[in-house]
Amino acid sequence: MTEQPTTIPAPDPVAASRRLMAVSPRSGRPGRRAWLTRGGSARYGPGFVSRWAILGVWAAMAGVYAAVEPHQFLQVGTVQTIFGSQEALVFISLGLLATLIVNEFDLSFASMQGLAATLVPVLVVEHGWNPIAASAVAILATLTAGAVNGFLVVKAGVDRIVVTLGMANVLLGLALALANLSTVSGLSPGFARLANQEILGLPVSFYYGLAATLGFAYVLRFTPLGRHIAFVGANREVARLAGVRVDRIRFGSYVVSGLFSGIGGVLLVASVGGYDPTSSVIYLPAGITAVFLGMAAVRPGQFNPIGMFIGVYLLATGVLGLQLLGYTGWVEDVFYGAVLIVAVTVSALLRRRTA
Amino acid sequence: MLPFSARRHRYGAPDRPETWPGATRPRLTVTGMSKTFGQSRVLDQVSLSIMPGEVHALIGHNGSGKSTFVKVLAGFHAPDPGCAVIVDGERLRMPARAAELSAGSITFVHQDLGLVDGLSVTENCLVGRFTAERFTRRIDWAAEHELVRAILAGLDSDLDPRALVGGLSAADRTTVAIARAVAGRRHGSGLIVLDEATRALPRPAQEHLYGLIEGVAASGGSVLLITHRVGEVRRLADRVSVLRDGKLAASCLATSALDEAGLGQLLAGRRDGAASSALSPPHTAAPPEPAVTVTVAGGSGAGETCARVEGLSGVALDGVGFEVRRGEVLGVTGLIGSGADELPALLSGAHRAAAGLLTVPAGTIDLSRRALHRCLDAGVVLVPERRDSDGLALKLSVRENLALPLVRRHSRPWKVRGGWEDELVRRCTGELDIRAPGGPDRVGQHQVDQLSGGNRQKVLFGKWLATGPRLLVLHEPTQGVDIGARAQLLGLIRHAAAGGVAIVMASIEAEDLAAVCDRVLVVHRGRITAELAGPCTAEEIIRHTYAEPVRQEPGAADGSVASHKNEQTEVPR
Repeated sequence: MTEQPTTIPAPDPVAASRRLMAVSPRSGRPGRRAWLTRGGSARYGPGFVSRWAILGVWAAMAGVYAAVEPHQFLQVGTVQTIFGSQEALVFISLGLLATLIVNEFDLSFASMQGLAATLVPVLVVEHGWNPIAASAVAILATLTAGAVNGFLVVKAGVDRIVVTLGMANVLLGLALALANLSTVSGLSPGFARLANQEILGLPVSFYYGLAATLGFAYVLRFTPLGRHIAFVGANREVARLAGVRVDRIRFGSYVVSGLFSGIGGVLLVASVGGYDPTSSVIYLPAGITAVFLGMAAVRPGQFNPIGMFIGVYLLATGVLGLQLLGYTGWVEDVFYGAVLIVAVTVSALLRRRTA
Repeated sequence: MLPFSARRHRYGAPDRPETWPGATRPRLTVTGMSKTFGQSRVLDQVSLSIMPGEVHALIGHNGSGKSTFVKVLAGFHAPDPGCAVIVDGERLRMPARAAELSAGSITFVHQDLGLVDGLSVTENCLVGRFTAERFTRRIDWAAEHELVRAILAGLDSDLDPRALVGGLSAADRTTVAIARAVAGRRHGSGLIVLDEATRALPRPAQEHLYGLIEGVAASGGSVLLITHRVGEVRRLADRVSVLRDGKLAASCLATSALDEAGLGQLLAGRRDGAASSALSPPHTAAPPEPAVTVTVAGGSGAGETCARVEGLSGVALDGVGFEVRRGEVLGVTGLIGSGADELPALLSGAHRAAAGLLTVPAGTIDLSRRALHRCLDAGVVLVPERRDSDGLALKLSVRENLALPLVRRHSRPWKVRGGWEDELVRRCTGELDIRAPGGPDRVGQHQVDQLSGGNRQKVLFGKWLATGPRLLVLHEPTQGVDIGARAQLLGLIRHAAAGGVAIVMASIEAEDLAAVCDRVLVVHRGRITAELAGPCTAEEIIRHTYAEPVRQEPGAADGSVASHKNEQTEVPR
């Protein structure tokens, strides 16, 4: 009978480290959440699936449409429509994101876009302005609206929902008045090239949106300002006690929201050539949905620009597919609303799982 | 859901003590109540019983578990399994439900009173008790106001029941909270739990409340009095239980057998072996070479005055002045509401003071203006009391939290310097012995809320020590940390002082103060009433903290330390 030699077990480094870490919660289970934190070198791992699951959803959705409507959906034109029509939504969603990320909320972004998109054709067509000067004035107007929002919320301490909802109505009404309750159009094709010039088959405005998104993501992730913004969003008092100018950042978020909404409005009207102010309302749920949908991706449970960017085009795919299937008119409202609820539910569940 | 008329009748019921005196069945019996938050056990097998007609005092330091006990009793927290709460012979389901508590006639005056500012006195007093009527018919406000007026009259108060609670003084607010407790009580029975209810009351109102408590007890009701004040215990309580670190250090002692010194002794406790070894800074917290994180620009220069505070006033603080030298740890202590607890936030510019000047080498800062940024620039930093809400962003990483105060100074505007951050995290992890799952190399990536209380506090210390502070203001630095981390943190405080930092440490923990402080200031009712110089024991600090100073002549205690300097001053009693 051969007896197993008794061996003294070698020190197990894993067990040792677990013992060492016994003071910390969840010892022995290197935290799942570490994958979700910024600065983590997550490439593949437990968090990978939840970070990029949204791409799978997108692919599945496209797959269903391709299977059901192969002749209409599988066209180059479809891709161009999806990626070439959403630049305004990208910009205004970035504006909303800028406020949400510091724990503020700007409900007036859609109306600010509407104001800018109305001002440009009114000034150019009815008053003979140079389109560039008109665009600058339009963006200046939305910047001012954002600054007023910021002043009332941050300095005067008025409830942000009340202020921005009121601002949304005021600006919507102003835009309708400027446009005499009708569609304003007649912009020159030269101005349209600013947005519609094609590069690699897609209008240049797509790249504007991509660049703004990446730039915004860079600022948030890699700059000291981004750090300060993260702390203002996570815990205002901690940020304040560390010397961060919390109120400036909050105020700035409303101004940035105005800026992005203004740019979005100018690009929208440039690409289409005219604008109907009553259509502003559809952008409100669309922007909110895109931003919250973005929470379910890249950095699950947190507002982030790249997730939002993906969300915008996922929404566009969904709406276009439904339209190709013959649902028109009402389908956008239902789709945006339903996706918003699903997206927020999913990110709430994600957050609870990681909490 | 009593019909309205029956409810009305209850208050007018004649004094009819059912089982008192000579009762044998306790009104309330608690056995084996424990409560664990994460890893820390804040209540450990606490048992006590209260008889009808008894005033029972529960005393203990901050963090000893008194408030947790109340919160478990009130159903705010669920206790750990194995706890039984028996009211008048009936066992309550745990976690306690409001309906069962009010059926057992147990009412609470919570520490923060729990009043709604925007509602009237009547609404606050009867909240939850007129909901039954709301669905059947409208509330008869005139009758309700009259009812509350009667209750208030019973408390010898002529408050208008229609007045909004938000506009009342602290004393009146306390009265309203007590009226609410009384309103929910059946006459001659029930239990009123008073959690630090006297802390905001002026002296005459306190006397009045004492009379009220005695009246409740005399009629057969029971009172559980949770307090810091030894004088109250002696005056009111029949029996006393002492909580220390979540355990009962003494259970149901008759107060007649105790004097104040004995009570103080019970509160402080005798240090057992583990505790005393924890008080001497272990070598883990004192690296052999001077820590880079705590070197201060401008040489050692220990002993020179680093900061002078003049006329510092806040809500409770009233013209306090003192000096701190470099390399010195100055303790500040006092009961809740004495002003000692607001000193750190005022001194560091975190909150605006009513008045006060802080002179540091960089200049004089007016603390009655927005002083936070000037304080930070001058190297005056605060380690706040509420670590998880004011100190650290729990959902962000350790790395980001550590780097926050310096990230702008040490980075280009367009890029955070990752190398600098890595170095900062590595240094803090090593020198402060911050531990997290996954080993030292992964500490920086963890979210702060994955760390234990002690490790969180170390992150908070590291965050501010890394800025090279001149004056470090600590507020309850060892609150909610385990005993090992506490020793390390105390060692760190001494170590930072040795590096030339001036430290002001406001704490209620006498043992911590005794372990690390060079001097201790005792604050009473907004003024410094004693300065304990040199090494002093926890017992001395407690004695001075709990001593009720005799009313002093105006000007006798002008807050200046000059008259007390370098000697132990006994306040005349």
